Amino acid sequence: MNDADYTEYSDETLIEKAKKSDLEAFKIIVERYQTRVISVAYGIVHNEDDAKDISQDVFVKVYKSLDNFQGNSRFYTWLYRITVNMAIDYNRKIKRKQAMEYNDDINVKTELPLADSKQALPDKYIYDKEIYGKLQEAIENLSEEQKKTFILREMEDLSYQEIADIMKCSVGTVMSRLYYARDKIRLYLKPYL
Amino acid sequence: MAVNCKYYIEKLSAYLDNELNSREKADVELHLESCMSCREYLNDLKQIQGYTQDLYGRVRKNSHQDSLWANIEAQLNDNESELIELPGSFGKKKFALWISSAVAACLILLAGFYAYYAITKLNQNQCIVTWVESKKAPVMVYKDKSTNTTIIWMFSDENSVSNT
Repeated sequence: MNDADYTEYSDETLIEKAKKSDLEAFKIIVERYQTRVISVAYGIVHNEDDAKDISQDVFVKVYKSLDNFQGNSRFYTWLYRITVNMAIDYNRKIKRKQAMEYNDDINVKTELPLADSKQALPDKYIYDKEIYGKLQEAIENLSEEQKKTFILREMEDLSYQEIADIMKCSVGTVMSRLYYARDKIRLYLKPYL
Repeated sequence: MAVNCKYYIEKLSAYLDNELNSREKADVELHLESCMSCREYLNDLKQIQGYTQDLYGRVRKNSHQDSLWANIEAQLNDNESELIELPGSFGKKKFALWISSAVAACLILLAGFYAYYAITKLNQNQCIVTWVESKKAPVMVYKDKSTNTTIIWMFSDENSVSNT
């Protein structure tokens, strides 16, 4: 069976094939979800290269754990849960390492989306750089649960019910975490709004 | 800001995400018509959402172009070559081998303990030797339970020993 046929299969069918060591089926899963996984990982670690490394590890872990996926929830729910947890774990390791190295610098770890404004409007470039830097800093200072909730909502446009399924909490908890996360970010960015 | 604004501000995040039911949504919209501070708060949330989408939008665009598959496949192939070559599904035979090794080790340990216990107990039950002081001379008694034998030594003086 060639790749073109596999692309038409549902996630559940591809998972069943992958459980039987069908790597071609798993490849389709990777291609189908890699953008989303990288995006979610990036939202937490704020570094593109690290986000890609984490995403590779996520898919390797998913493949090895396929027997644990019983189909009780949607596949992407399980995938996102693994992604946010691995990204948070990565962040914790980095922070521990930075604490040991006595690194007090604020670490804006990635290029900001400023290429267009830099050429046309230098003042706008400086202004945008500040805002995006502050936004990253604000997200970084959220609690882990608020950060996960915020990223899943803003990056993936998931419903509150979907986020609740991923994070194994109630819709009310999702609503509360998002409110507090946005309120904190608003306080950080107030001078720029 | 009015006291009841706190109630509505807590709803604005869910209102922005269209997660309120129709009754709650109507209630919030009615409040927004007459409350400028809540309207400003909502505008702030919309701006933050716009900045967040700009910040992450470029990453989404780039990640769509890169393929992770080559590296993932290489990692999966590396991991498979480290496993013991056994028939059966991926990983399960390795687990079964560990379990059976652990069980065998426990059985050997138990057998060892039993053997040690049996030998010491056998020796303890094999014979009894007592030393009895009597008026005439000291007596040593040996009793072997397994063969039902009793041997008695009588010491008539310091240098001679006779037994029965």
